[in-house]
Amino acid sequence: MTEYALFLGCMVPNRLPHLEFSFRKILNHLDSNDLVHDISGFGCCPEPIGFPGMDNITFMTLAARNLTVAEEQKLDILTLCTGCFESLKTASVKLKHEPKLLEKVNKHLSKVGREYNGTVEVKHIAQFFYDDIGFEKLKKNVVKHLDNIKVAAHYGCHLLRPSEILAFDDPHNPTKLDELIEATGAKSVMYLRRDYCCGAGTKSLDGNVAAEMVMEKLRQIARVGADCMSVVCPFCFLQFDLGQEMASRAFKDSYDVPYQIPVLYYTQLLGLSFGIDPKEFDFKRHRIKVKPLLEKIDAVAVPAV
Amino acid sequence: MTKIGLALCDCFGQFAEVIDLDSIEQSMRDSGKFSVILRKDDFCMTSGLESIKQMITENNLEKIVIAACSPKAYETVFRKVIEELGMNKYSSLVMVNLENHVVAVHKEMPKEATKKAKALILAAVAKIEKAESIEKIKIPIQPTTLIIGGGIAGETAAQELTDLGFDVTLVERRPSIGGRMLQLGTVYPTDDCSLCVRSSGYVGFDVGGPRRCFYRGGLGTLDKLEILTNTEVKDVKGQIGNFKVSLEKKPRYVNERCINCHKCAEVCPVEVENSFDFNLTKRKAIYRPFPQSIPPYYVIDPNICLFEKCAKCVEICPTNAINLNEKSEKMEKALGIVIMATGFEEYDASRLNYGYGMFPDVVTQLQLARMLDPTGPSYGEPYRPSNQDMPQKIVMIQCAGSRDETHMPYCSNVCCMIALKHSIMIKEKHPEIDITICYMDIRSVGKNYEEYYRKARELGVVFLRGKPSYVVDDQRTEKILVEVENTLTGEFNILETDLVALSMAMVPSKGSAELAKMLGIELDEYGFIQPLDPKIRPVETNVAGVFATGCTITPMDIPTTMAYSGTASIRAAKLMQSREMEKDKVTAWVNQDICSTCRICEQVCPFSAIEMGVKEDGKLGPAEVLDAKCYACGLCVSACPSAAISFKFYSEEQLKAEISSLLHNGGTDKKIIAFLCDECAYGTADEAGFMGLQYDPSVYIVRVPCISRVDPQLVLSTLQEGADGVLVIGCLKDRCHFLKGSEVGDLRVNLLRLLLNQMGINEERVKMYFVDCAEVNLFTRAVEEMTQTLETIGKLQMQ
Repeated sequence: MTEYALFLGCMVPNRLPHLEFSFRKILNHLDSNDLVHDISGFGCCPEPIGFPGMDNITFMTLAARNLTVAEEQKLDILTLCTGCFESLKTASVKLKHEPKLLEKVNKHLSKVGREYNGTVEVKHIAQFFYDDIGFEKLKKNVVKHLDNIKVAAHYGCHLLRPSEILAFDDPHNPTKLDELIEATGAKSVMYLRRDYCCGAGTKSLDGNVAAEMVMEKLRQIARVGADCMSVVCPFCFLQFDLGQEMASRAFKDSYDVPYQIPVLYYTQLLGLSFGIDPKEFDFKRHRIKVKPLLEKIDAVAVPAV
Repeated sequence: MTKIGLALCDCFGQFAEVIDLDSIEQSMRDSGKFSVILRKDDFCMTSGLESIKQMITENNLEKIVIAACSPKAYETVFRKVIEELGMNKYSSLVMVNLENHVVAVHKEMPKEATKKAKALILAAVAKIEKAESIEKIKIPIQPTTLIIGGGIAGETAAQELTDLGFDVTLVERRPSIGGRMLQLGTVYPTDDCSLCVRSSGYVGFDVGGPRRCFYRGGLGTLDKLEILTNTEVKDVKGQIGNFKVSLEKKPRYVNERCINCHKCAEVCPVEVENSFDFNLTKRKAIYRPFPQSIPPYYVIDPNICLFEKCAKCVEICPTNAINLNEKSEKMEKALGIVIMATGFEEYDASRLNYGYGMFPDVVTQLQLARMLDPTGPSYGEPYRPSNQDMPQKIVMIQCAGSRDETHMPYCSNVCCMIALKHSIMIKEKHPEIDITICYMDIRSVGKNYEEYYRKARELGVVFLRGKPSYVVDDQRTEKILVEVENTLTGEFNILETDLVALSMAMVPSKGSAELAKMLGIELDEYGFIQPLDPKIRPVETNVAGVFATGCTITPMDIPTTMAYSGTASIRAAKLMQSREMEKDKVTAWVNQDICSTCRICEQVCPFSAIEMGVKEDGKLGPAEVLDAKCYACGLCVSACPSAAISFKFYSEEQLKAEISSLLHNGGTDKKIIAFLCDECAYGTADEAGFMGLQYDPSVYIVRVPCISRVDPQLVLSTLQEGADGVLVIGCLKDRCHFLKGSEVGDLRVNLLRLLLNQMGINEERVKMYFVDCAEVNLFTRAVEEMTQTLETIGKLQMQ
């Protein structure tokens, strides 16, 4: 099986270490620790939207430097963040198919004594679970069917688009994350504005716009009666978790009830269905209380047959 | 020696302007091939035809070569004449196309043209010498028709054919005939009850006016119509005139003693979704499909009935009409003609993101039609299936699955009109209900149809241009939410509604693919029947004697279906009326001693005209060509690896003799053999002559029925015989007169070019072109390209 170097990025280790922790818990539980390696030397991914807009060659060079770090160890890259996924995947795909670009990038890389040969593949953990681990193994480990909860899946823009480069799923009608969620026994509900952005990208420009975008998504998610959300990106996580509280505060006059929809990183949801003790996931770090959800699961969760 | 005559036309001096006819006549006399040569101007006129007759009778000629103009124009006339004299019209006549292949196209080169004319006449002699006499065959046609599918399409065809005096067997797999139309409640363009049908059994004047209710229409009482309900077609063998059909009549468990007292259904303990109401209501295991069903009896659903464990219905039946031990019955029938009328069903709505199957208040237009049917489950009132309430707001979604490349790319034709009809019906009764129709385009094409659109707008129906992305339900308000972008204003809307009606795409019925396989008929990529020619033969299939009508061909409305059924019936009647079909045996035949039973021919035949025989011990026997189905294209002839299949007309010997003669007598330095299919390609060459386009005289045209007749072996032997280049020209690939000929021909020629390369022969010596009859300059360009190629690569040197 393919072995990976884990690319943590900036957001997860600095602000949301419990997301990384939950992923490692799952790896441990699946006995797959040998598939994922920690190596040193990675830098900033770098950020996938603004950066290439300013200077594409610099963007490619920085991303390619990260790729060379994994290439040295003959490993592919696995990311926890969809932003890192887009940056590195874009670089790996473009450098593979555009020899002229690769030549330019390698010229810059040679200044730090590096060279990229175009052999590294980049995967996001959703892909890792979907393709590498596989449903058979996931379902075998589910001991607690989360039958009674409805989950609203949020894919995140950088996981899907541009689809011809990222090639994760149909950008208009994605289903893979829903399938992964349903592997836990939970119901992945359809909701409106499903393909809307979480709004995290607008936060630094105008906090009100970001809050409005969160509110619109939450409104639609609450409408269909979802018990929680599941995300696969730390930015989306932060926007829906911390952002939910901030937006609820900002709009407290225009909405009757502040929304309290817990947000789970996919590996946390998976962990719950694996029967891992919720205490291990450090849910106290979440701004939106997860406790009601855990109680609901425990109230009727049926052991898997 | 065979006595051959030559009729050489002067065409009132037209030919003499280019070619030297005296020299041609002299050479022909010198060749010693002809016992008599007649030179005249007017062979195409009555006086000329008389002189040909005279020449034949006076000289006791056996065969005749007519060197004049295009066989396309005059061959039939000459064939008629020689047939009157008792000669075989295929083996005794060959025409040389002096006008279009020589005179009109080589005006600047009289010497070469004269030489070419001589070569063509000699090649015609070589061809006619090898010609075998072709007898006529008579295929008896039983004046009986099998109609598969008892919907409005099948019923109409059955009515037409019985009116014309033919026996019809109508097979329907459901327990009653009637089909989809009866489920619609009301139908456009008349807005009347869908049960209204044409009354049967009255030719000329219909008693009771132009229409009657389905159960009073007399369909069930026609002497010549046998209705087999609960029956499936299991196998079809044979050919036009004599299809051997195996049918299985499933048990009904209730016989004709049934008086419809409904007592059995009252005591029946088992309930199931009612498919007639598209699962909106329930029915018992013993049920009448619908109140007007034909035959008018109850029926037991064997999938859910408890049989002996219960048997309450048997006890209560006052007429002893129920027999739970009834067994299914197998039938064999021999029928002359088959008409497919298997209809449509809705595309699986749960495959869309519109929540069908998840939320009960999302229904299809057909379900809404059941609600709006005055005799339906709610007596014509719309309701929300979740709580039976009257909806305050209804959203209709058009093109659900249609015009969608991830589902069905075609337009389903009737959905716009059905949505308009339903919205008008609701609005007229309940003006307070808000109706929004989400559409891409409203296609209300035709007389009186645009008026529906205007009326709906006048009644206040909102038309929102946009295709919804998702439909979900609001847990708190129990409303259905529809997310849609209004593409005219750019607004993103979320519509809150009580009921959603999906105008689903129409797809062919389940099982029609299996039926098509049994019959050997071709389907398009969506599973609809592919008509033999969508423009001019819309109801005919690739298999002779098998017709189709209704939505099994393409989505269509009821008036169109009526017209299609009429056409299909008249085409069927045309074949049946004379009780036999006369055909010349130009068809392929199998040398049964050589056939290796490899089944290649069976697979390649575009008309399913080849069936494998069965030996006495039950093993696979040699292939057999069903003459009635064969269109004589020659695809199998050139596909057979053992050379076991051949033609009597355009036989291998004939073609080889013709080519060899052309190459030996052709006057030009370089020689190009052009195989032209008898359809568009030969027509194009004629057209070049009519228009006076000039091309190189080194091209010698060989006529073949279809380019699929040209096998690589023939091309190789042509090159070996001395040709420097070979042109293969056929019809456009998707317009091949024999459906698959050009496609297969292309494949073969490409493979051959690979082979030539390996043999050290430049692959450019064999070129293939596809032309439409009118693309004259394409033909001359093909010739030009080939001559240019030959100029660069030179003559072919064979060792």
